[in-house]
This record gives sequence, C-alpha cells and structure tokens, in this order.
Amino acid sequence: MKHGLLQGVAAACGLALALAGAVTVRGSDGAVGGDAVARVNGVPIPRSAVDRVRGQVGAGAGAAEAVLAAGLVDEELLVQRAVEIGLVDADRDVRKALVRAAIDETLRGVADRGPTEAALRAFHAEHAALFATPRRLCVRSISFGTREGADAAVRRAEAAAAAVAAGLSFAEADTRYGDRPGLPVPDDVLPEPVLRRVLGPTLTDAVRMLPPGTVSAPVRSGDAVHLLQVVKEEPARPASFEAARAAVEAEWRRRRGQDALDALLTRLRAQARIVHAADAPRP
Amino acid sequence: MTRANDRIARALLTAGAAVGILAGAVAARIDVSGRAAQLPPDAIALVNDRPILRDELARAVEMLLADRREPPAERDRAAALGRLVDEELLAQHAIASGLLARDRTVRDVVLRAMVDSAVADAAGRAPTDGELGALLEMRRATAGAPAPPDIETARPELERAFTERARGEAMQAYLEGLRARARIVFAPGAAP
Repeated sequence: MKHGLLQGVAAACGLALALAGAVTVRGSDGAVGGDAVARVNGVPIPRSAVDRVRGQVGAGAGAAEAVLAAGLVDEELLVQRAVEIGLVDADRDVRKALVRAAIDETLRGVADRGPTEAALRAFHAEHAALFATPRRLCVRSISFGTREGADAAVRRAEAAAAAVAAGLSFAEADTRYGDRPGLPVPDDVLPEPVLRRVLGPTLTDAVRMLPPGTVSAPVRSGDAVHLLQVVKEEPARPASFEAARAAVEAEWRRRRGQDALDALLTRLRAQARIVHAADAPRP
Repeated sequence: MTRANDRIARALLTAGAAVGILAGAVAARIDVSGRAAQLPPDAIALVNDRPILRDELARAVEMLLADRREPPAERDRAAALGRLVDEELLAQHAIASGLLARDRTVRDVVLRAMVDSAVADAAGRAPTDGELGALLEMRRATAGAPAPPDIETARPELERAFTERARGEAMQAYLEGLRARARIVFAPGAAP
C-alpha cells in the first residue's frame, strides 16, 4: 500500500517536471523580446539583421519589416536544416568557408589589438634587414644557342669570355659571338627579386656573387648557354622607421596573426580526439 | 544493530562508487582504443569522430605537389594529412564558436548549397512538349508580351523559363515543408 503511494507520488513528480520543462521550452520560444523580430526553433533573428538586409536591397525605411523578417526566417530555416541533414559536415565549399571564417576571425582579433608605436619601432630595429631597400644590379648577357650541341655552345661561350678578358668590349663580344634572341634583360638596375623573375633562379644565383665588371663562367639555362656580367651594383640600404612604417606594421600584424593561429591550433589539437589509421603517414 | 546497518550501508555505497569509477574508467579505455578499430576503411584519420577520407588525402597530396615532378614522399603525405587535420579542427572550431550563425560568408555558402540541393531534382528534369506548350500559351495570354510563334522556335528559351519556374516552385515547396515543421514566433508587428 505504502509502496503504491510512493510510486504514485513519484509519477506525479515526474509528470510535473515534464510539464515544467515543456512550459520552459514554450516560454523561451513564445516570447520574442528584446532585439529580436522573430525566433526560429528558439534561435532569435535580431532586428539588426533586418536593417542589414534593408540596406543591402536598398529598400527604404518604409519597407515592410514583416517581408524582410520572413526572408530571414526562411534563411534561418535553411541553415538549421543544413546542420540537421549533415550538409555542413559534408559539403566541401561549406567546410572551406568555415575554415576561412575561423582564420579571419583569429586574424581580426589581432588586428583589433593594434601595436603601439614603441612596439613597432622595436620590431623595426630587430628586423632591419627585412625592411631594407634590396640590393640592385644592372646585368647584361651574351647567349649561345645549343642547336649544335651544348658542348659546342660552351666552347663558343669560353671563346667569347677569353676575347673579353683580352680587351674586347662585352657589347662587341655579343655582336661577334652571341646568338639572337638573347635574354630580355632591361638595361637598368633592378632589385634582386625582379631580376630573379626576369632571369630565373639559375642565372640569378650565378650573378649574385659576381663582382661588378667580371664575366661569369658559361651557365646553362633552358635551351642556351649564357655569359653574364654585372655592369653596376647598388648595395642594399637600410630604410628608416618612418619610411618603412607601413611595411613594418603589416609585417608585425602578419606575424602576430600567424602566432595567434598557431596558438589556436595548438589548443585545438590538445583538446581534440585525433585517431590515425595504422597506415597513415607519420611526420 | 542500527550502527551495524549503517556501516554495512556505507560499505555498500563505497563499493558501489568504486565499481562505478572502475566501470567508467574501463568504458573510457574501451572507447578510446575502440576508436582506432572502428576507423572506417575509407578514412585515414578521425578528428573528434569526423573522418578524413583517403580520397581527401590523395587530392591534398596532389595539390601540394602540383609543381613538382617527383613522386610524393612520406613526409609530403604527412604534411598534407597534418594540414587536413588542422583544417578540420578549424572548421569544427568555427561551428562551435557560432560562426555558422554570425558569419555572412559562411551563411551565404550554406544557403547556396541548400538551394542547389533542394532544387536539384527540379533543375535536372527535362520538360515535356506538353509543358512547354502550356508555358507558350501562358505567354501568349500575357498582355503586351511578344510571344514566339511555336515551341521549336523558342525551345531553348522556353526550357530555360520552365527550369527557372520549376526551381522556384521546388524551393517554395521545400520552404513550406520546413516552415510547417518549425516553431516560428514573430515579434508583434513583424509577422507576415
């Protein structure tokens, strides 16, 4: 008898709790207070979203709030449905957008906490080489085609180099020994990065260590052999903080952003459950 | 007697708690060790239970080595997998931190994917001549609109219009289904 009574009380309590829960859920959905124009499955649609859409579509202040709110409700329904059916997990474009958004938000966090003037000056002093005006070189060349074989081209190049060493001008040696077309090098001083784009890595590396006036050994690149000469050199010049300020701040932000991203990933990796297949590649 | 009963009750409670803790620990170990065993065959890794597929790794390695001629080394594959794991962590972090709700670009990409998915069937179905004929008749009936003389003359244009309409109708029906199942509450004055 007593047991039955206890069961009855327990059942009543359970029912009361369930009803209270239901009322709580309804309450949170039923009241659209504060800044919200609507709630979709409990998710509020803020009035600011209506204003944003109004601004985007160019509708005047009189545009019916109801129409704009209904559109935002449909949008929220679609996003919730995307989560429900797993589209957010499976769609590659959505995943990419999420990754991009996470990165952007992390970088924005850095941008919002801008550097002090003192921090920028210290950073500039610490990394002066990074902001220096790069070394600039004026280079000329003689090219030898390899139609008759690479060895023949190298022999012709060596003959031209010997003629220059014996007193022939570089330009005259080009006319007598060189083939056309030669390398498209502008007759001007160029920063090393630009030179690298014009000549490619092999020829730029050959030129970088060459003292001005000296003719290089024959260098093979592509379908030709080349002789190179540095005509003029302007050494790298350190840039003052004032002149380099914009670049200093951009680099400071880039590095802080990278640091913040690295810190976020370190934290996420530590918190995550990551399981590799037995045959997964190991670093 | 009562004291003895209390002691027995306490001992039972302590034993119960110990068994519970032990069971929890065992369950946790089984769970962790079981994950590796439960890795789907097409997955190369799991990140918080979400698989990274072997195909994804193959594509990532291919992209990483797009400018190189030699075959990928183990370290290249490891670097590509590390990058996929990091991307997955960032995507999960983005969802957990509410970016799906507040990032405009993310929402636009989700909406495009949802619309494409919702209207895929409608967009893929070719209209019958009867449907195109009905559309042509409707155009003729529209005052002021110049209508083509027959279906063949205007087939591409009619098919385009038909698909457009079918997409719109499919989207509308899809949204109505969602609205019917949802709990939607409007603020006073904001209801349509």
